[in-house]
Amino acid sequence: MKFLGSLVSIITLLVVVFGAPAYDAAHGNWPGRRMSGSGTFEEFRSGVMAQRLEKRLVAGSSIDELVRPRYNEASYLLTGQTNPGVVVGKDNWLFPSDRLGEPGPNKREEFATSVKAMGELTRFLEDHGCLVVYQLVPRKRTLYPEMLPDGLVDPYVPLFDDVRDAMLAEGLRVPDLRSVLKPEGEPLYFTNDTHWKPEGCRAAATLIADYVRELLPNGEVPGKPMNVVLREYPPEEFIGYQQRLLGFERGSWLFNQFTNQIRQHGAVLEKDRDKLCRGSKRPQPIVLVGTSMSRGPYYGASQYVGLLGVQIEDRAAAGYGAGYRLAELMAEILTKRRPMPEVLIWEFPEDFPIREGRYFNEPLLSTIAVLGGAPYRADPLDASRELENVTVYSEKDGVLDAECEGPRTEIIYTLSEPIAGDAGAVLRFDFNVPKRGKPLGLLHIEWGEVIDEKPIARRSVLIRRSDSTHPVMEPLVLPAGAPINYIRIRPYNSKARFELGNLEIWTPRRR
Amino acid sequence: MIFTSQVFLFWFLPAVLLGYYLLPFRFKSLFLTLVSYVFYGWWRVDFVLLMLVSTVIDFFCGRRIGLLNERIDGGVDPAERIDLDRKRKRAMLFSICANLGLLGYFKYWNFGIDTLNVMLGAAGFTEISWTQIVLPVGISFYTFQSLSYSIDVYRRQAPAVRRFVDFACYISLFPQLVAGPIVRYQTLAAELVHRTHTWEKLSRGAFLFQIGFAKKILLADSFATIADQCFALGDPTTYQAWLGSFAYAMQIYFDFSGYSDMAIGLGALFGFTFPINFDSPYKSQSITEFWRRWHISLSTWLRDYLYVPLGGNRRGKGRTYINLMLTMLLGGLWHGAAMTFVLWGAYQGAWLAIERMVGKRSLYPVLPKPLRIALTFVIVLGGWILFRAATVAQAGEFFSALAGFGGAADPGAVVLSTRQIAGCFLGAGIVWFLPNSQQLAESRSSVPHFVVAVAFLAAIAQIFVVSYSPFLYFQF
Repeated sequence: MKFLGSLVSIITLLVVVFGAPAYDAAHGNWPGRRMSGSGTFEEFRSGVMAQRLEKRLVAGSSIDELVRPRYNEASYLLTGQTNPGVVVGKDNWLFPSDRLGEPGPNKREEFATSVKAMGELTRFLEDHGCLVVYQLVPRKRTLYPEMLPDGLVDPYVPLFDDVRDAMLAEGLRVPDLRSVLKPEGEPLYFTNDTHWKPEGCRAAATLIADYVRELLPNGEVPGKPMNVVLREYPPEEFIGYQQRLLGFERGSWLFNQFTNQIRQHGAVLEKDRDKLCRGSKRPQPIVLVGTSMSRGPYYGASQYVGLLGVQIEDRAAAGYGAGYRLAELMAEILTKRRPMPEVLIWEFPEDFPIREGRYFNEPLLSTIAVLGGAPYRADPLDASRELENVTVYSEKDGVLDAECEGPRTEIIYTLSEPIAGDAGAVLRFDFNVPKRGKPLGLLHIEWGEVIDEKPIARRSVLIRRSDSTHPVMEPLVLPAGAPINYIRIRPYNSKARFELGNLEIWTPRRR
Repeated sequence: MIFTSQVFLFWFLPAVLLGYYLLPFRFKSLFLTLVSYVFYGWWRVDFVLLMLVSTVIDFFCGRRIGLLNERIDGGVDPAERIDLDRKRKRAMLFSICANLGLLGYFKYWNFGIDTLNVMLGAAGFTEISWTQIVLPVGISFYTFQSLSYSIDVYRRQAPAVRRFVDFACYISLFPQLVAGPIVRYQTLAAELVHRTHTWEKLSRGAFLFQIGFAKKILLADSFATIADQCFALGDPTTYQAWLGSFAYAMQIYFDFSGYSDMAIGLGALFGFTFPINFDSPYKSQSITEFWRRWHISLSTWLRDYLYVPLGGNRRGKGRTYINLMLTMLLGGLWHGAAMTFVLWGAYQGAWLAIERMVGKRSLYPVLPKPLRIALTFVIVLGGWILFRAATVAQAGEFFSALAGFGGAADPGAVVLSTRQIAGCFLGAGIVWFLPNSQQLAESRSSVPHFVVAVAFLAAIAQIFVVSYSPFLYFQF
């Protein structure tokens, strides 16, 4: 009897320890293929190289791909437990787990700064003839709390009411989308994703479009007329983000229990009905700034093109949050790269002013600092006031267009002509990170009179994505009398490759 | 490299097993030494040199003492014997000083300077600035092993090793290199020269490795989540303090005994017989018994190389209590350079001394056995609070909460899921009602092998999904 037990123990161990590399090898995934790369002696000495090697050996193994989804499925079936980050509600509704069930405050202070910043920006834009309408999107949790699992409480209730009330109190235009987003029958949100369905995006855009039309003089919508019709596409399978987070084998029976159907909607050109009109990237009188809720497959700009009958400038992007894209638009306006739009529709989900926290606020606050600071104090868009793009750097110290290894690498621009202390300026440059790179994280910018002495000011900018150009616009708000002689740009804690575009410093024309 | 990491399980271990069993016996120790250096160098290559230095010093000290022993045994006149004894002692002291010097520098230098700076700051002097020293993994364990060799040879309890490879293999043997058990040279001396590889050893090794692995991944890491949550709270409530200390007691037991099982199992796979390190310690009926069952290799080391040389119980009652206190204080300090460990050692020493003092008048015998076990466990919990707390102040908060003066932490901050509650009962059931790993390995039934194999496979699946956590005793 004992012999059988011994046999089981030995065979189990041998199968596990020899089986995994054998399985990898059988799939043509020899560990040697994942062991390429080199390192410095210091990395070898300190064990960094070994860690890197271990990571490579583990990350790409075929056995990992085999075991992981099956473990997740077994764990879900046996214990109901899923990967962290996703919660399974009633009828297989999936919700992100962030702060669910935690005792959480629902305080106005959490979004007060954001709302105040929105108010200041809106007033500035409206003073210059731009109508601003907010498309505040209710979360799935707000609209369908009854689908949450029993016992899990959403700490942010009633967040939508609180944020909207605060925005209304600030004098902002915020139509209540809840009235159209929870009709009887089929829900307008995916059960396997946080986003709405294209029908939800259409319903929200319809309400906002009517609202905008009412506010425009004589209901005349500005912009290039478009001959389009609204089209509904045939249904397809939709695999949502929360569904993928479950970590099940794609296509397995269990995975398919969570799959939804999607029926895309959008405007198509009347003459070419197969071509979805997704809005324009070029300046238009009506601008949609938004988040992933307005990107594909929902195509917020396309809905507006169809509903308003004019071309829409699409500035929605996934993964940037709500503040950054608006600050980007403001940077273009303030540096006179584009005219002031006539209508701005700014879309973001109700929890972004809190969830995005400083990443929501910082771009807005920076922009407001520009609006309030020199040289714009009087009126930044006053046509009589000339702005000049002064190419000031004369000498670059450090690494440019090269690999940045760690926090010490920096770029110092020594200015050939100092910026006078009472002038103030806007610093603008493009920060390009190649597609195959790590996200950079924070970028520190500091400016001052003498290098290596205490800078006059410093600021941190969040570089959120690794796959695009980041137009960075930073106000240099100066105390009187202290000239700027250098600007230092330093990525923090990153080994990503980056490139820096031309540095532009915008100051008032010297007289 | 960690036993529960994929790189160890799927790359290092199969390669080493394959190489080891393909090589003829005369190369096996050399091979094990080399792969052990690779295993150790995985953390930091330069610390391999440190281990090598320690090994070389003790090898030559041992050789010198051994040669002097042989000369004495060959017959010398009394005057020469005194001279040779002095030389033997000098060699042994050199080994002790070198080992303790390395240990002191790497383990206690930061603590010493920090403490000095606090005093200097309080006295108004400028603090000393220095670079923090990185603690080499496992230095406490291999230093104690190395020391035991020199002392055993000096005491003539073990012969001096003849081949450097055998000694290097003994010091660096990867199964027990970084967290024990602390294997004394005399235990392995014969097996370093000749060892057998039998079906029983293989079976026992595979079984113990699997049970240790499952204990670490399925139990210790689950309890770690609860313990971490509770110990992260400032000023916990009474419930949180009891829960946290219970969870930590379970975590440290399953973690450390799991590691020991794996080490003993791996040793058996390579033909070695390591001593047992845990013998159901939470079934103890007194603290004295607890220390006969918990981290046995350390407690016997401390007994043989510290408590007994200090005089043990041979110099009267008062001196016995002092010796117990001193031994446990140093045992506490061995775990880490922090005031909490010193207090933990003092706490254990005090309980040992009290039990020795009360002796047969003890309250224990009048209690039924389950209550004696429960009472001992509660005392042990007190020790674990000192052991786990980040600061003495935090330990104070926990003690106060345990006594019913619960703190201001949010009572809802730690809510156990059904799975965690079930885990707590399972852990307690294993600890108090099941035989321990060694007993299971020796059981005549095949059922434990089947159950453990299933648990092992579940744990293996879990390491692909849950990021691994290092063993608690790696920090010591």
